[in-house]
Amino acid sequence: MFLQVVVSGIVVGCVYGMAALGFTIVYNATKIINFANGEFMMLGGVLLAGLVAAAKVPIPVGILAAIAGCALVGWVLQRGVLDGARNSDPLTLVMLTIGSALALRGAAALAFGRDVSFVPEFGVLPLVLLGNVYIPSQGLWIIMVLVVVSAALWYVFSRTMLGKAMRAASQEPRAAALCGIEPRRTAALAMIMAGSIGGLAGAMLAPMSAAFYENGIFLGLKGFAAAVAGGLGNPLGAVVGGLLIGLVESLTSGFVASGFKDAVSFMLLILVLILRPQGLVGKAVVRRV
Amino acid sequence: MTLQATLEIAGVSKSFGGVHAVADVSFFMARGEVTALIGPNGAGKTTLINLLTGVLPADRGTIRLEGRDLAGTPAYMRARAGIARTYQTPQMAQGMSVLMNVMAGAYRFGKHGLLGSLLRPWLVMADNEELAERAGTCLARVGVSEEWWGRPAADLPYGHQRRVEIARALAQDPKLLLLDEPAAGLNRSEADELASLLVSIAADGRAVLLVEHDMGMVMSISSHIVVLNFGRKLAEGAPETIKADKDVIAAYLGIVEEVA
Amino acid sequence: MTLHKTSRLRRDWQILALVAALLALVEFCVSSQFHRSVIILSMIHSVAAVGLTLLVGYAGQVSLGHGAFVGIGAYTVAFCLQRLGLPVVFALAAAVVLPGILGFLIARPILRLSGHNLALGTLALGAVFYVVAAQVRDVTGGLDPGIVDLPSMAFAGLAHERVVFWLSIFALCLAAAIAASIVDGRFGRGLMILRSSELVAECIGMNTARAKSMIFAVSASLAGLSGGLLALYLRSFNASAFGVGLSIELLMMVIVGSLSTIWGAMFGSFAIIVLPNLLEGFDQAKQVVYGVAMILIMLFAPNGLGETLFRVFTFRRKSA
Ligand SMILES: Nc1ncnc2c1ncn2[C@@H]1O[C@H](COP(=O)(O)OP(=O)(O)OP(=O)(O)O)[C@@H](O)[C@H]1O
Ligand SMILES: [Mg+2]
Repeated sequence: MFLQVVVSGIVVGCVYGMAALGFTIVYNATKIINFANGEFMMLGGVLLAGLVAAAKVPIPVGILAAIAGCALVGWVLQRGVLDGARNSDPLTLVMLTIGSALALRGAAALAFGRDVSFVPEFGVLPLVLLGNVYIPSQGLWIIMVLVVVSAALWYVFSRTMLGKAMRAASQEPRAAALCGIEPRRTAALAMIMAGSIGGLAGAMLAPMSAAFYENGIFLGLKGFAAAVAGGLGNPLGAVVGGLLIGLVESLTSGFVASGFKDAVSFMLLILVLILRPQGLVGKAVVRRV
Repeated sequence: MTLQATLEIAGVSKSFGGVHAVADVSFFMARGEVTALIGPNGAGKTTLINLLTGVLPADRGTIRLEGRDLAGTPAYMRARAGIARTYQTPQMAQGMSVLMNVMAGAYRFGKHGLLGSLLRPWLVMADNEELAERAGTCLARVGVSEEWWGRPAADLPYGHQRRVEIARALAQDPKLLLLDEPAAGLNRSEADELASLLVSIAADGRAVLLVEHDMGMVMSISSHIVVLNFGRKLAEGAPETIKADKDVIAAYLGIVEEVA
Repeated sequence: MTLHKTSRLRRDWQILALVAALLALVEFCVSSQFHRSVIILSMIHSVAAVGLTLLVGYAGQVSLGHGAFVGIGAYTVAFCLQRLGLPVVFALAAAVVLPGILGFLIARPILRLSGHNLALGTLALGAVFYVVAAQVRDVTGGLDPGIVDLPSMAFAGLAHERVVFWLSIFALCLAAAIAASIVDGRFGRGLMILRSSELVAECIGMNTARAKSMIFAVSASLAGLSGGLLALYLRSFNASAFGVGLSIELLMMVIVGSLSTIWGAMFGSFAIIVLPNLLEGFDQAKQVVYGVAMILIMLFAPNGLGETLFRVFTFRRKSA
């Protein structure tokens, strides 16, 4: 029983980890907390459900379309909304991303309806039985995707010029600008990456927990919780944080009361923000007066 | 040295990580005098002001205001005890008029806080009149004429913002006034006006600490000069002594005289 | 000295008297059931929005969780009326006091956060309340059935709606009077300094930690009052009314109105409540329109739509 709960915690945690990754990439590139990040995941799920169920598109094509759609939305969000307010105060930026989240949610409801929709499992992979612990096939898919995404991101950020440029732009924006790295371009790239990862994560999650236009709020908050727990801005921390939040949730619903699982991870977010804003693993930073 | 120093600093230190921003600094300040605190960039002057006002805790040492140890006294209590300051870059509140900014400075003279204004709102009006009166006097004293009072403070020219800041500090009716580079960005005649203003403020019986790079002003109005370098006190004394001090010339004045 | 309007309080009281008279007039004139309900809902939300203006606009502390305090107010009223059998006046008083105390206690830890962390923290707080309210069924009735059948307010021959209308006018005027005497006094000036710089506020002698807790408590109390009235008016409701959506709507009301005067909140609430009812088929596209409106306002009128329109209008008149 305990191990089974842990396994499902890890599976959900992988999804949260992906949510946190998108959020971290954007934060690193622009220092913006993207409150619309959860909507990427919602869109990924709703798009896949719409394409597969209504338009009878094969699942792999549907997933690619969901990723592409969310990437496009990310690009529009950055270029159309956030670029125009790069020097605004945090409240304005927060409100802008919340406004975008509302608009996306509304658009999804208009386009795909207000009903919960379902997507069949991807299949192909078997259901694994280890001792008396089941790993569902969709769970295996999710774990694999997280591994692939993390490896790809690691490669991009540490081995390619593009990734190095993005890192430089976030750490030394002025020096980077002098070297011809344009902050607007890296910001747009970051948002496109966050969109794709969010879309993919949402699509992966859809067979396990149905797609619904209002999913974005809570998925977004879980992603934030994961990113903050792992230390804001740290991609590895984001993944670890995601797993942690997933485990905590799964344990709560397994052993306390399933209705309270969301409340527990949100409380965790609040506590980490207040008590350890540098994350559960990070080092303290000195504040300048 | 007067018997009862307004401010008494003994062995005060503060470091940030490995940087000793202020290291074992001691001196006295007397009421009615302008004391200057000088030193090259990064010497620790602003940090010392932050320690005196209590916005940063000191690592070591004691600070006494009129004989009372301020250790553990939070910044707002020190302000209420009579310490006021200005800032290296003027800090005008957004969306507030000049007069309102200075009225806000008189915070500690307002008669009621949140609950009071809820229960007896009519008293707020009388209170406001009184604080506005006080603020007006301070503004007039620093030479900001009435036509400016209604304007948004953050839109004022730089020189005026510096004066409004001094007015805001004066509205606190401080025993100790700490000024962080008040002449920066002022032209010659403005700086001269400022110098005589500071002399008159000290003449009220306040202790004035002047952090300033304008050596002409420092030498002409201060009775006592403290020189910091890399956080340490390099020298201290009357202007003539400081002008003649070899260490000071080497560390600091040499550069300034070249410029002057 | 009089030139500079040292006391804006007098002007604010004049506005208040005008608003009260106008609302009373409206109460006598409105005959349509539908118009009446729209105006009542606008007034009720205004009460919370005025409080939120104090917190967000004046003190510069954003809250994306105030829907929770509205909810606490609503459940307090329901509990007092149904379980304790208290009179309405006491129920409403409890709906003011309880959220105020909770707000004061929560404020100290939560307001150590600032900027986007504060937005995140308060958003999470609001979400926690929603989850808990939906789960603690023996107090709240959860999502289904929720609270049902609160007593009608009909009194001395006046129908339920009319009594609530008068109660709401009274509550709104009370909220505005409280807000005006706070912002026009020394505490309000201190808050405005604090919004620009906590450091400066400390150095003029303001205990900023306490000030922030107090203003958070006041705004929570007003949100609670708003929730109490909402409960009285609707008579049946459930936890879904107090989710993250409500918190965001309240903040929208402030932004659509004004971040720098308490009167903007009334305009904002009215706009947010009335709009969906005016446009045919708007309900379908409600969220899209809200979202896009929010983006446009933040891009082009970050001080608040109402205020910007007001400025443009008065500027035109002056230059004409
Ligand atoms: N909050 C802080 N955190 C870390 N280091 C700090 C902080 N404040 C000051 N320092 C460091 O302490 C040293 C002293 O700085 P301080 O600002 O006090 O100098 P200053 O004498 O006011 O210089 P200036 O003439 O340029 O204003 C500098 O090396 C500075 O970088
Ligand atoms: Mg300095």
